[in-house]
Amino acid sequence: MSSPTFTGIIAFKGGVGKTVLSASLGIGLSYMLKRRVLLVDLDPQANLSEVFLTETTLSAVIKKAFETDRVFSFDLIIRPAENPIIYEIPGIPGLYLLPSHHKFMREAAYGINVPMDRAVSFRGILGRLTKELELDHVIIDFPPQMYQYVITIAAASADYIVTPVAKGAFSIPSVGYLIETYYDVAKVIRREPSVFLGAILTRYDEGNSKLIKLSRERVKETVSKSFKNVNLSPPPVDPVFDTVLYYNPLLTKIRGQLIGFTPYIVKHILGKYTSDVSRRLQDRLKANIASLVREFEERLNWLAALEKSRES
Amino acid sequence: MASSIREKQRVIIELPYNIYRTIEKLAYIRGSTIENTIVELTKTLLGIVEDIDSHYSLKYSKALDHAYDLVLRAVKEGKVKLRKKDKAYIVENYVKPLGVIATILVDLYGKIPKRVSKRDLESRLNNLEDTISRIARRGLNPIKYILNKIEKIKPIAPAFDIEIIESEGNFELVFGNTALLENLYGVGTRPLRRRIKT
Repeated sequence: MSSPTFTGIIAFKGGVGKTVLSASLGIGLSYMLKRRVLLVDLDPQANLSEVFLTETTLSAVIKKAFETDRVFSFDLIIRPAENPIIYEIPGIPGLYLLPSHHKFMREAAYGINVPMDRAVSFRGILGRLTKELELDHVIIDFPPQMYQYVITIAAASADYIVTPVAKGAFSIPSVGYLIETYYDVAKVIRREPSVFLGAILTRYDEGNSKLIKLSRERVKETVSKSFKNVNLSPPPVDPVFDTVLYYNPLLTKIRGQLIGFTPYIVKHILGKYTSDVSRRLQDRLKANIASLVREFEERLNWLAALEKSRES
Repeated sequence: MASSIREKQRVIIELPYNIYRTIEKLAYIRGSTIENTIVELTKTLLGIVEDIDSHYSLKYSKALDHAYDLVLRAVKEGKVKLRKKDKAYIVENYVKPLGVIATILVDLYGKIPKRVSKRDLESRLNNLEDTISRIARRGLNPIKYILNKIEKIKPIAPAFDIEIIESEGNFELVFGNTALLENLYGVGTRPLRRRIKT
């Protein structure tokens, strides 16, 4: 892939698997497809940072940021002239993290106002990072949409948006709300809003094909209805990914490692735990992530080719 | 200022009486002392000033530094060949015309598109004339003006992943990484020059 892609992981509802999806895409693209990926954690709750930073490494990162005068993800939006801190994730070459900081929780509680020009500057900074780190993908993990700045930053910085849909009664309607609110605002503030790359079903059981089929049809219906409601044509791709990010016990324990340097999930991907149960779960997870990232890139390539042919 | 607060140095400020009364009222409402309220107000104000300063320093100087770094990097990689590597020269002759192109495209399309052709620009001629009269001056031929700028940026185009495809009487710009140009919006244009002078 020649030009870097900027993908936003965005969802209306909390707890549907945005962080797990971002981490899986990051790991899959870098470890399995050998791409260079930057994960940007824009969530004040710093969930993605918690996946890849242990207490030991977090304190080291904070110390390094202080000593080298570098800032965390959200600082760049408030003060764009600063230099960001980039953490290279151990064990997986080509995977980088622009971490969030717990201090943003307090700022988010008072309300953060992000004007459009700041959001555009942030995209400019990401652009510079793509050149410096020679990146192929930038994946931005957004907080749930209860924070008002989500739409502005997503509209400015992401070329594509992906939304996870978890198993549950509230998840599918929330996709409809997401599309309606996002595109209603995004089409005004950015004349060409980000392309909807698709919804990814998460946390479904692997054997439950009947429920998956039913949910897929419902998501499709919801997406087409929502695009109609905001007077936009639906995306040229199938609104739901064929690959489902299945429930895996390894993913439920993805956050909150306290000691050590290598993140828990990376250890599993690298096959550090060798018990029979771990092996089985690791193989399942790896196969699942591999098919997910393959489909992800196929969709991106297909859309890029479509855009090229339309323009020429 | 921050260090003097930390070291608890005594600062004497003379406030106009009505401002003092307002701060006094604010302090009583907040349940805090007048001195603390003044310190907090100053801190908040300094924070806001710092944010604004950071944003404008990115727009006026850091964006140019970053662009210069990109050009130098491309020179080292052998993608770009330049005789003069002087910063002022590169910024004036290459980066500013690129900023003008970025500004025109953002004004026309809402964001920097991945591809722009002469035919496409001609179909938006009215808007293009408006934009150019705003950022340069009135009465210019828009297509000629853009062609002139493209001619200027040709030597450094690979540094910004820009491909310039030229055929008989036609041109096309292909942007590999549009995000690289986002912070160049306004650079080299008349409104920004005037803003800096004042």
